[in-house]
Amino acid sequence: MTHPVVHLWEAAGRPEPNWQGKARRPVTPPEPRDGVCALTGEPGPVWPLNKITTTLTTLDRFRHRDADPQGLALGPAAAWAIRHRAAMQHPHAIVDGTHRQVTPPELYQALEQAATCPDVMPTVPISRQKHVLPWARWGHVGVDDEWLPWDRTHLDRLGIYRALRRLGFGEAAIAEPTPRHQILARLDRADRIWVLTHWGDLNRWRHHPAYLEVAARATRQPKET
Amino acid sequence: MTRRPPVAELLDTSAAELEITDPPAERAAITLVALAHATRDQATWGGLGYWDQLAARVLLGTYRADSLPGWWEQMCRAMGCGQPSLAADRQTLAATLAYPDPRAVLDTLATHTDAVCLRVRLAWEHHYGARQTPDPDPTNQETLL
Repeated sequence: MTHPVVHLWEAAGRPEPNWQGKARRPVTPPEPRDGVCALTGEPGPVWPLNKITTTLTTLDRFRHRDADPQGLALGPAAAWAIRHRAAMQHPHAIVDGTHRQVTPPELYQALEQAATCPDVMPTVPISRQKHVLPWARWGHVGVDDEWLPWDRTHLDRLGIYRALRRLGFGEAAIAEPTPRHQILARLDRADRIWVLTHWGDLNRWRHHPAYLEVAARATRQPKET
Repeated sequence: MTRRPPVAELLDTSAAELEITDPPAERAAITLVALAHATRDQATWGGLGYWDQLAARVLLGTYRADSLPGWWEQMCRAMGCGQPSLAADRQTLAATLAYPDPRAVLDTLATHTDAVCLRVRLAWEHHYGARQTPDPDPTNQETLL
């Protein structure tokens, strides 16, 4: 089975790594050599890590770091994942077989598919400062420091979250253990009973707020992003 | 001038309206907070931010007491609660303070304080109707809330 990073890279259309980055002058791409990628373990053209990034220093996260006798080096898929700045800042997912940036409604659809289909792998950066793509895992949803398990129970909670937001509860109000009376008082009787019945279903997420962040990103109006 | 129905009846009506059946320990916690709310010193405790204050004092009472009568005494000191004026309420209070598993009730009061206060607030509003502004006449307030 291919490595998830390679799968994402192929879904993105096997692009070159973004060598330009934030540099103002044009950058000449470094010359590859033949070797083994330390992240995916695939043989092929590789670049030494310091040609790709200087900020990623936790080398023990590279599973195949000892595979190449000439030193730690990364292949094109890993280099693309590490140098993909937009994926550090905006939600991405594989939509219709293409890995690209997604709007909140598209992210919601991607999360719906991810519950049954392990190769969607949506990523939702929260702090916008962390590498998410290089640590991709099948059937998980990527956030800042971890890849969250995602299955049908999480999909149910996502639906409850969206319904609560449509009833007028904001992101901060949903994160609280009890519904806010001010919002509850505006609802009619059936909605109020529904809210009180289902409020506790999100308790598992309230203990793990990264899930709430993902759900918040997926249910925002597009203009807010 | 109408008398308020007993607290137990008021909570039963609200639970039926919201289609909730509480476990006995939570029901005891809700009853105690409802009694504290009903018998508080109404000249002092009411108005804006009252419900947050009630939750804060319920929680504080659980820190300062290790039994239900101790918690009730703390509420008496903090909010001027006293003996309920209705005989049915006095019976409810005595029965609830002698609840066989006080630790479960205190745990509920400490961990689900906001939820318990919300239930009491919904019960009171269901009986009296939600009021947007506090009534300026203090005599009305005493009979109504």
